[in-house]
Amino acid sequence: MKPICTLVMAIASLSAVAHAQQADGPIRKALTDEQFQEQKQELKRQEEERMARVSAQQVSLEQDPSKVNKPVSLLARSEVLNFGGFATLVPKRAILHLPKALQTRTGLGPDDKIQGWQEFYLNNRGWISTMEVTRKQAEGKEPFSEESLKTMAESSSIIVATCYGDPIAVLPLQTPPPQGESATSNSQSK
Amino acid sequence: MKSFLLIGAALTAGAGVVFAQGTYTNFIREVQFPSGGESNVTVDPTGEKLSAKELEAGGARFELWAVRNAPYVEYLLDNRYVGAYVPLAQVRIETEDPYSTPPRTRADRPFKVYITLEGLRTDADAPAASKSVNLLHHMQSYGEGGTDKNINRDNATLLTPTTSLSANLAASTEPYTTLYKTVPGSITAARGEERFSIYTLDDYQAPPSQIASAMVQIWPRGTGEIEGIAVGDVIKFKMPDVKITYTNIYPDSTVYAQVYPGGPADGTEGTHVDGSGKRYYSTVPESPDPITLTNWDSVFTKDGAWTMELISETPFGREIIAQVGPFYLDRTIQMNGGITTSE
Repeated sequence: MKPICTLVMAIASLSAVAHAQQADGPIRKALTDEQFQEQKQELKRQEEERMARVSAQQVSLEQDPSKVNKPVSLLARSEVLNFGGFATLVPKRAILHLPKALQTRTGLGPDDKIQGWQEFYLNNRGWISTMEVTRKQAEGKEPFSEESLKTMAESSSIIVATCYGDPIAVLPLQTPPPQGESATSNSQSK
Repeated sequence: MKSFLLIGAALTAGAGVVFAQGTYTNFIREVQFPSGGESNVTVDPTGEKLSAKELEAGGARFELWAVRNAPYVEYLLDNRYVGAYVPLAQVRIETEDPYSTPPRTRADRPFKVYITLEGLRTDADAPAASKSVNLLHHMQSYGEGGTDKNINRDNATLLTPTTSLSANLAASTEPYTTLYKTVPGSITAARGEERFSIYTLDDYQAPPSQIASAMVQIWPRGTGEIEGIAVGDVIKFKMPDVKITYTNIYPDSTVYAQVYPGGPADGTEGTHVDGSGKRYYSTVPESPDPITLTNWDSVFTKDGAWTMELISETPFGREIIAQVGPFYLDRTIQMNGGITTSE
């Protein structure tokens, strides 16, 4: 009798997952751990049979891939801009120019409320400017023009590098610039 | 250049936890490989947009973060890797509980895992990372009475062996697999989460990276206890005070007591005992203070045998989690006497 009971319970279990039971359905007795183990074994057996037909194979990994290349803290990879109790995060090296007078506008205060970039920038355009950079400039493969460098140097605002409006890190220049252009062009990014 | 849709809603839905705007601020951070260059990505909480930025040869990882204010706390909700020849994948977990942020189920109930996979190549000279991916199954217990608050997901256990998928999987109404929890513990105590993720193979341009992931929370089946009355008791006058204790009430479910005449008969619809329970709307199991029933005789409409049960109403149905019966009521006062006269 027991094998039949087990099968019946397993079938009931599979159909149950396909159609959630209603809270106003019939009252039944809660499962015991023993009944649960029987159902689990039966489902496992059925699944193993089914999986044998799927194009998949079991492999052993030397290392858990989720522990490799795992994203680290967002804050640790960000510069914080703050003002009036609000703050926002931009990638490190996205701040191209930081005037001495505005250095207190960086860093996170204990009570600062975090805002998204768009909202924070909208409210603080008086002291934040953006400079659209190309992808090559962001990757450090292309220097800034003399004109851009001059604009940055003379600005009294904090200048944030953006790409299509979103803050972007500007990596150090990888190759020496062509003759006549500044070799320290991208070194101003933080 | 490879264009792709940044789907804010999809990223959010795939996350382990979703945080409401206001208390939390969401950020999407893009990390390019192999340069490591980073940028913010602005996407509405629901909606989609085509990414204007081109991908480097090594692809890019998109990370969805929720940041809480004062004090600052950050949560990595989800991350996806997109690459030039990396296949696209989706993982979805379905349970009998309609709650979906995140999906949750009970320790004694099965759940389904759906996987779609497209873009896997079969040509011999294609890079290995374009020909197969690994399906990882992680399990993590929250510990006794624990929740996902403040858990370190680096401590999740990778179940072995891992499954290597080398053929595309079309969207289907049939699940990739159906299974029960692997979180350790009895069905009345196990609590934790199970995560299914698809990772690329280690490649010369990018390390193994997650391209899809979904998780399900496992909560224990609630239990109940009735004290103050026992099988076989005969109650002569007034019903005794009865203490009801509920433990690990499943999130957003209802518990109550019912009584009915006669001995235990599973499936009987009895009379709901007022004040014996209520609906609990929390997102984690609750073990409230015990309830004491006093002066509750009126629910028993006649003398004789009775049964009392504690019922749990969850998305998995209505279940008896405690039962006492039969006990006997004998409240009728019988007068035995005669009439005599005297001169």
